Amino acid sequence: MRTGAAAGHTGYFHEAVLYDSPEHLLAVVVPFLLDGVAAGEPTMVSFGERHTALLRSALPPRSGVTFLAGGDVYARPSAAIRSYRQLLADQVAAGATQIRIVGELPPVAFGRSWDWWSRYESAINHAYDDFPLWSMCLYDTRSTPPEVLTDVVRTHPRTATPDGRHLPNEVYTAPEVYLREPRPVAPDPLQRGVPLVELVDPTPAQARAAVHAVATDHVGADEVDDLSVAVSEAVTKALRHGRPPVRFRLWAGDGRVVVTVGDAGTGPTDPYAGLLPARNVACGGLGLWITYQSCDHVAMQRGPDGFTLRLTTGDPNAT
Amino acid sequence: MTDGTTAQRPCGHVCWAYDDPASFEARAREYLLAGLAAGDRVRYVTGEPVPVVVERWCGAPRLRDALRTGAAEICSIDDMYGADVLDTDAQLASYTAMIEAAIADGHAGWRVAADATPLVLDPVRRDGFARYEHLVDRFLRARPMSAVCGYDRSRLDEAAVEELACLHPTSDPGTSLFHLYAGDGGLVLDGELDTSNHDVFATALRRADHDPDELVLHAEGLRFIDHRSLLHLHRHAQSRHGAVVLRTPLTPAARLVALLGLSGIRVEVTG
Repeated sequence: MRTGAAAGHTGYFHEAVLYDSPEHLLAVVVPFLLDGVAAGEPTMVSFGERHTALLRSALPPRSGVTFLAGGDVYARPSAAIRSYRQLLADQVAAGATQIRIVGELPPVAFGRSWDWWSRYESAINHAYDDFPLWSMCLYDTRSTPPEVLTDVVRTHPRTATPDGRHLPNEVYTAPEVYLREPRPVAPDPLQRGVPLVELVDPTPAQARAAVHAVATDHVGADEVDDLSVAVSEAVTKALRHGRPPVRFRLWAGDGRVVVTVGDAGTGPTDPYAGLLPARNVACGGLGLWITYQSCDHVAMQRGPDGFTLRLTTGDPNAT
Repeated sequence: MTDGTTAQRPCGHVCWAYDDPASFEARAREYLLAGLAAGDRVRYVTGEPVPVVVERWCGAPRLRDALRTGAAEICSIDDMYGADVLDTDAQLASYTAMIEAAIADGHAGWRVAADATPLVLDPVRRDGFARYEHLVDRFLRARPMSAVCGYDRSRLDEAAVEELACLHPTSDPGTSLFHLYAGDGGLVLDGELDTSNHDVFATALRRADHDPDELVLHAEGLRFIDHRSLLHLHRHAQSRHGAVVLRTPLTPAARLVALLGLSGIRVEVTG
């Protein structure tokens, strides 16, 4: 039996908290957590250091709230989805009737990589809907860019307020619609320069060789290997499912490598492409999902010339 | 016929692809002359009439002398492999006898350069010969014998050459992105595996994997493996062994195996 605002709801109950002060934050989060503990529901927090400290000071000792280890769960959206789905499945298997989680993305997510985090916020409405999850995602209205806040209310069905209300977001857009919209992708400054490598219709092996030849001078050996995996999958996908010509471009500098793989086609039709694995692993269709987990940022762009996948290894927000 | 002798033969089994029979013969002559210089008895296996080739070779004093003394031999493909289906056991037994005879006559070992093209033109025969290629690879590892297998690209398509070349420790550039061959306590896998050679890898694995016990793939020289190849390896392992061990320095391989939950592969990341 689910409790609180999500009582009677089936699947994922996804809310935003748009706070403008610590008091505002605590007024929403503390009762949410303590009510969860009181109801015997697994109740968890995934915050950065500052808000973890704030919340710990506001909660009673031995509150029963679980603070998830920070780590890099929010390093990549597809990895976050995989990690949370496993956590939720484990909790349900252990008998949970509702799981409560409150979390916040690191501020770095609001930079040039926001496009894939906005896709994450939308996709999880579907990806977590298999579970009796009630979660709150926190956004500071004082520091979060306005365009990010616009996406937040479009990707969260409800907003929780400090006076205990759970207001529907009028502009909420179902993921199947939101994820098919073109997302603005901030250009990487490196792309203003001439590519260090440009190949037309390369084999995956030729594209990997280009990565190894150039990227080794700019990022670590493991990152080069991971980028090779991503590039190989991207080129394979373009050759198999795209339309010729397939264009490979590579830029490098400032501790990162940027690769674009474009073709004249329209790109994947699956709105969750990259964020979720194909249902049947044995049937393939995992390439883009693996690409998403092998880079520090992946952007999908559709334009009059076709579809382009941009892969970044290294800090995507570096200038 | 000692391990010490074998250790000095790093490229004991090599695959060459050629477009012109004359270029194969010229290269084979150099290879066999190097064998003579190393004290080997050598044999050239040709699809041409043997007397024609003998006459040609007698134009070179070193080869003429070697042919006269029996240090060099030229034989036809039929004489070497028979005209019918290849009897692998009998073939390897004859090699053992040839090596022993060479050693008894004071040679260091036995070196063969064979144009095997006529044996693999038919797909069914090619399958049998490809299995033999792996068996002879195992055989060569422990014996003072080295061999070159030549394949004519003007009579075989790229895929046919690739499925044979990949079963050799080394092959000409452009013939195969990967190699799967006999190693110490398992198979050696090197090169790159991706969507371009997924089917060839599957076929090679089926041909080379004879041991029902745990399979260890020594993949220290593997430069890339994609998730499709790992999925295939996983399924192969589950059907034949339960699990295989993949020893590789590629950390993405370990990550992909964990990501995809491939219980049939145990990755041991090497330094």
